[in-house]
Amino acid sequence: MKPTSCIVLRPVSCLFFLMFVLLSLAGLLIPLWINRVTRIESQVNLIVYNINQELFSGIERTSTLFSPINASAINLARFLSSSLDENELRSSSHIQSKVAHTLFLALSTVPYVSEVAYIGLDGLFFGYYVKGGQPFALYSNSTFSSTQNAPKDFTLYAQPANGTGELYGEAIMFPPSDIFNKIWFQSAPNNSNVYASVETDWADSQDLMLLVNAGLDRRGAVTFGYPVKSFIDFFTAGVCFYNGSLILATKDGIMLTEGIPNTQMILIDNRVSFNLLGPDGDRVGRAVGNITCHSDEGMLTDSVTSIWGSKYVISCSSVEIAGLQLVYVLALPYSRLSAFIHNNIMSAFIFLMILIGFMVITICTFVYLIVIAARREMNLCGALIKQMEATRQAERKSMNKSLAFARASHDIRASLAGITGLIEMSHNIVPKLDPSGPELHTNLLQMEACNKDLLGILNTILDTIKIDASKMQLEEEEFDIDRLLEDVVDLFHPVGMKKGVDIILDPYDGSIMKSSRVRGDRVKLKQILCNLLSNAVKFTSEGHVVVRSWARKSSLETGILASNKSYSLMRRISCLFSQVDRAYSESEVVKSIQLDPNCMEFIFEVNDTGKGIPKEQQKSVFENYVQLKETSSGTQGTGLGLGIVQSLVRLMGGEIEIMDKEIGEKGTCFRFNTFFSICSTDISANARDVDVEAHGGHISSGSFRHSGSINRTQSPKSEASQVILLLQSAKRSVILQNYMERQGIKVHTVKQYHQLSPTLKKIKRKLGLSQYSSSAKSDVNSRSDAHTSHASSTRSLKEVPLSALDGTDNDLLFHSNPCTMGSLVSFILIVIDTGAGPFREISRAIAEFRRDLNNGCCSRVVWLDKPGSESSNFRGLGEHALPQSDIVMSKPFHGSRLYQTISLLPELRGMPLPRKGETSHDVENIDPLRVASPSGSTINITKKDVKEQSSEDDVFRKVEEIKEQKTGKVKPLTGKKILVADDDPVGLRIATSVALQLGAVTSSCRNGEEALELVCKSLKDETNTRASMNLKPFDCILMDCEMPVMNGIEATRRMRQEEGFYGVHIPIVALTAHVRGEEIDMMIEAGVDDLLTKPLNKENLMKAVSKFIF
Amino acid sequence: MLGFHVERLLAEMNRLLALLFHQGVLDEQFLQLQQLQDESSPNFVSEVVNIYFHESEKLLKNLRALLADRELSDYKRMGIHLNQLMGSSSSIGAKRVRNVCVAFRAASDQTNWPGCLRALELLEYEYCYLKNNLHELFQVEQQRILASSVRHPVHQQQHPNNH
Repeated sequence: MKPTSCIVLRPVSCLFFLMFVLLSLAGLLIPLWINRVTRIESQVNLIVYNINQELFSGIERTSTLFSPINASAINLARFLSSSLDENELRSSSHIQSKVAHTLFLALSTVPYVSEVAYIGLDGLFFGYYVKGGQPFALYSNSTFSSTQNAPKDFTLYAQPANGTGELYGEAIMFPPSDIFNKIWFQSAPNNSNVYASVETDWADSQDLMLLVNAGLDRRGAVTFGYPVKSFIDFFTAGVCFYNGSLILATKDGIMLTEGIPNTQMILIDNRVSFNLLGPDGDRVGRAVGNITCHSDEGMLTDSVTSIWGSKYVISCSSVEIAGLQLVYVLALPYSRLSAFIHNNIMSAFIFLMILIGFMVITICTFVYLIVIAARREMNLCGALIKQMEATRQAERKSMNKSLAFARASHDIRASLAGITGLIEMSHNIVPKLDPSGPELHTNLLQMEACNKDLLGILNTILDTIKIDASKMQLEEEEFDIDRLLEDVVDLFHPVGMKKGVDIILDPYDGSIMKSSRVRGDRVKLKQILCNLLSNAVKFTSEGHVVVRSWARKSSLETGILASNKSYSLMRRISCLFSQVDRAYSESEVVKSIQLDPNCMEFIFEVNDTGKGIPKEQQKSVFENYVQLKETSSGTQGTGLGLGIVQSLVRLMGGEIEIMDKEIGEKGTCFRFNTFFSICSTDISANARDVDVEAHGGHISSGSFRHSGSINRTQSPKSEASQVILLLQSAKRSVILQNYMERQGIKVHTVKQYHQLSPTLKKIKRKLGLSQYSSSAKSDVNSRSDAHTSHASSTRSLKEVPLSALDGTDNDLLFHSNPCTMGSLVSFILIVIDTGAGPFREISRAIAEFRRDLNNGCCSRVVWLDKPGSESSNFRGLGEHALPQSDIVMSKPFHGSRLYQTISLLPELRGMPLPRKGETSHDVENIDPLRVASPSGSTINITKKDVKEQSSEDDVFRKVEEIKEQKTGKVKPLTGKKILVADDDPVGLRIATSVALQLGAVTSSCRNGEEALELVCKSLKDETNTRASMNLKPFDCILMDCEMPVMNGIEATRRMRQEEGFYGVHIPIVALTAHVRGEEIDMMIEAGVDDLLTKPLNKENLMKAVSKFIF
Repeated sequence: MLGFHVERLLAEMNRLLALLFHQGVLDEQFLQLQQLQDESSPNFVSEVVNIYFHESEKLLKNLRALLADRELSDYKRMGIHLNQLMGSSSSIGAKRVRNVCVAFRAASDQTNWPGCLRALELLEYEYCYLKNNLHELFQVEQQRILASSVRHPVHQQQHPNNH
C-alpha cells in the first residue's frame, strides 16, 4: 500500500507547495503594493491641498486687483477739490457747469463705472448713472442746509443726458427716499477717506452696486458705483473652481454670488452655515454646516458638509476688495480626486483579493480533484493487486488441477491396463467355459477395441497436459531413423491396404539412409509420424499416401557464415526476432541444435490424396480441440492430434506446416522438419575410420549400411543392370523408378501386366546384341562362396527346381546363382507385384523370358506378395514353379526390402545391406552375413574396382568381426535349415530361439505327423525338380520323443523309410526328458543320429549338430 | 535419484535370482534362457515362461482330474503329462518342479495313488512358488526397464548383452 500513498501524496504535496509559494508571494507583494498605493494617495492629497491653496491664493490675488477702483475715486476727488474753490461749490449752477462735466468724463472713461456722483456738504448733489446705455443725470437743486429741516422736501431730479453730458429733455422727479435713506448719502461727504459699501443701484434698485466714496476736503465727496456682477465675473473668470462654487458675502450678510443652488448661506460672527431651501424659496429643515472663517491666511480649515445628498468640502476665509471686507466660502465637491483615487485603490485591492481568493479556490479544487483521482488510482491499484493475487491463485489452482488430472489420468491408464489384461484373460477362458462362446467372444473383442480407443484418447490427453505443463522433454536416444520410418509405414500399410490406400515410403534421394543413425527422441518422432499417417489414412479413401523424407546439413550455413561478422550480427538479431515470434521457448534449444556441427536437419513429408484441408482452416487445424466440421461427424477423436504434433515438432526444434498443393491435386501435404545429431557409435566410428582410409568416400554410421552407391555406379560399365518394375500402384512405381535412377540403375516400368511380355522381349533383343561385346570386356567375377558352392554348383538356370518353397525356408543365397560362374554381362532384376495381374500369365511371361536367356545374362525375379496370404499364389504351381533363385517378398515394397532387392544387383552387391536379417519368420530376408561373409571371398565387378572392392569388403569383415567379438555371438549355423518338432510349446519356442541365435533358419511343427509330411513333401519336390542331387530339405531335425498323434519314434522311423527312396539322410536329433534307457533305446532303434536330454541349450545343440553338419 | 532407483531395482532382481538359485528353484537353464533374449525378441524369457505357465496349468488340471478317482486313475496318461511337464520344466530351468515331477513319475509308475496325490500337492506347491517368484522377478524387471528407458534410453538397448 505504501507506493500507492506515495502516488497520492506526490501531486498533492506539489500543489501545496505551489500554493504556499503563491500565497507567500501575494503576502510579500500586497504590502508593497499597499505601501505604494498609500504613497500615491498621500501624493494625491497633497496635490488636492495644493489645488485648494492655489484657489485661495487665486482669490486673494484677484482681490488685490481691485485696488485701482479706489484710486480712481480718490484721484477724481483730488482733481475736483483742486479745480473748484469753495465758492464755486456753493452754487448749484457752478456745480452743474464745472463738476458735471468732470463727472461725465469720469463716467465715460473709468471702466466698469456705471454710477458717478458728487455730493456736497451742503447737500448739493449731482451725479450721472447709466441705465440701458443711456446716461441720466441725477441732481438736486436745493442745498442741504436749506432743507435740513425738511428732508422730505429734498428733491432729486433725473434728466437724460446726451453724449457730452448736456442735459436735455424733461427732468423727472426722482423718488428721493431711495437715496436719502442710504446711509452713505449722508455720511459720504463727511468722510475724507475712501469708503466702500454695497448698495442697490439708483436707477431701479435691482442690481447690487459697489459704491466707492472719496472725500473732498470736507466740502463734499465723490462716489463711484461699480456693478457687483462685473466683479464676480472677474473672479469666476480668473480662477478655476473644478466644479466647485465660490460664495462671496459682505460681513453684513449680503450675498454677492449665488453659491450652491437651493441653499442660502448665513454668516453669523464669522461662522457660516447653510439653509436648505425648497423650490419655492422656503426654508426646509435646519441649517447645515457650521464653519468658522479664519481671517489669517494659510490656515484654511476644510469641513465636509453634505448638502442635498452630495458632499462638499467647504472652506471659508475673508478677503478685502477695494476696501470692502468680504467673506468667501469655497465649496468643492467632495469626491472628486482623492476620494476617487482612494475608491479606485480600494476596488483594485478588492479585485486583487478576489483574484487571490479565486486562485486559492482553484488550487484547492485542483488538489481536491487530484486527491480524488489519486484515491481512485489507489483503489484501482488495490483492485489490481487483488486481481493479480486472484489470477495467481487461479493459475496455481489450474496447475494443481491439471497435475491432479494428469495423475488421475495416469491412474485411469493403470486401471485400463488392468481391464485390458482382464479382457485378455477372459478371452482365454471364455471358449472353454461357455458354449455360447461366439457372442461373448465378439463382445470381448469389442470391449478390447473400446478399451484400446479409450487408452488412445487418454494418451493424447495426457500428452496435451504434458505439453501444456511444458513437462514434455526430449528423451534423447540413439536410433535408426530409416528403420523407424519403415516401421511406421509398415504399421499403417495393412490399414491402408484394407481401405485400398497404398502407403508408400519414398526414399527420395537416399539421404536418410546415409545418415540414418541419429540421436534424438525416437518415441516422439514416431508419435508425430504415426499421428500424421493415421490422419492421412483416415481421410484418404482412395489413392495413396506418400511418406517422403530427406536430410540436409543444417549447420553448414552457420559454419560458413560465422566469419562474416555483420551477417552473423544480422542473424543474431533475426534470431532474436524469431525468438520473440516463436511462442515456444525452445528456440534456444533449436539454436544450440543448429549450431551443433553434427546436426542434420531432417525433413518429413506426408502427402495424401484425401479430401484435403480448406485453405482458411489450415491454420486452425493445429489448434487444440479443433476438428474440421465435416470430418468430425464421421470420425472420432479429441481433436488434439495435430495440436500435439505441432507441439512435439516445435519441441524438437522444427516447424510443421501444410504445403500448398498444385491446383488439381487432391489431398493434404504436411511437412515438418526436425533436427537430430548424427551419432557415431564405437563400432561405426571404427568402421568409418577404416572406411575413410580405404575408400575415401563416405559411409554411414550404421554398421550395416548401404553406402557409396553412387561411387559404385560410376564404374564405366555401360551395360548396367536393369530393373523391370511391374507394380499395382502407379505412384509407387514412379517413386521407385525415381529412386533407382538416382542410384544409377536403369529402370523399366511396366504399367499393365500384359505389357510385361513385350517389354521383356524387347529387352532380351537388346541384350542379345550387346552381349558379346560386353562379355569380352567384362572381367572375371569369381564369387566362390565357401558354403554355398556345394549346393549350387550343379544347378543350371533353366532347370532350377523349386526347392522347399513353403514360405519358410526360401534359400536366398543369391550369390549361388550359376550365372555368376561365368562372365557377367548384364543383370536383370524383375520386380513383380503378384496383385498386378493374373499370376499365371505373369509367371508364364517370365518363364518365357528366362528360357531363351543366354548364358551371359542373368536375371532374378522378386515377387511381391500380400503379407497375409503368404505364398498363396505359389501353392500348386506345377510346371510354372518358381526357380529357387526367385525371391518372394511380402509387401510393402519399400525400406529394407527395397534395399535388399537393390543389393541383388551386381553393382551394389557385396555391400552390406541396410538392415540386418530378422527372425526366421521373414523368409524373404537375406542375411547380410551371407553377403559379406567372413569366409566368403570378395566379389569383384571390374578389374578397376578390384582393389577398392576388396578393401571395402575387408572393412565390412572387420566391422563384422568387431561386432561379433563384442557381442560374442558367433553364428555357426548360419544358413542351416532346422526342423523342430515338439508338442510342448515351451520346448518348441526355446528350440527355435536357440537355433535362431545360432543363425539357423527354423521351421516348426507340433507333432510327428506334421514333421513327417513336411519332410516327405520337401523330398518329393526336390526329386521333381532336381534329379540325383544330394540336397537335403533340412540340415537337421530336432525331434521330441513324446508327441501326440505321432510320436517321435514313429516319425523317425517313417522318415528314415522315406529317405531311403531318395537316397538322402537327414540328421535327426532326438529330444527327450527321459533319462532312463527304454525310450532312448527305442529312439536309437528308430534311427536317430543323436540324442539330447532336455533342457536344450546352445551348447548341447551345437555339440549334437556339429557332428553331422560340418 | 532415478538412476539410483534403477540400480536398486537391478539389485533387487539379482537378489531374487540369487535366492531362487540358492533354493534350487531354478538352475542354469534359466540363465541359458536369458541369454537367448536379444534385440529381436526382447521379451523372450517372459514369453517363454508365460507359455510354460499356460501349459503347466493345463497339465496340472489334467493331472488333478486324472487323480480324482482312485480306481479310475489312468497312470499311463498321467505319465505322458508328467513327461511333458518335466520336459518343459527342465527347458525353462525350473529345477525343483522338475524334480518333483520325477518323483511323481516314479510314484505313478508304481501306481501309488497316495504317493501320486502327495506328489501332486507338492508339485502344485512348487509350481505356485515358482510362479509367484518369477512373476515378482518379471515385475521388477519391467519396472527396471521402464525406469531405465525413461531416464537412460541408451542403456536399455545394451542391457540384453549384459546378461
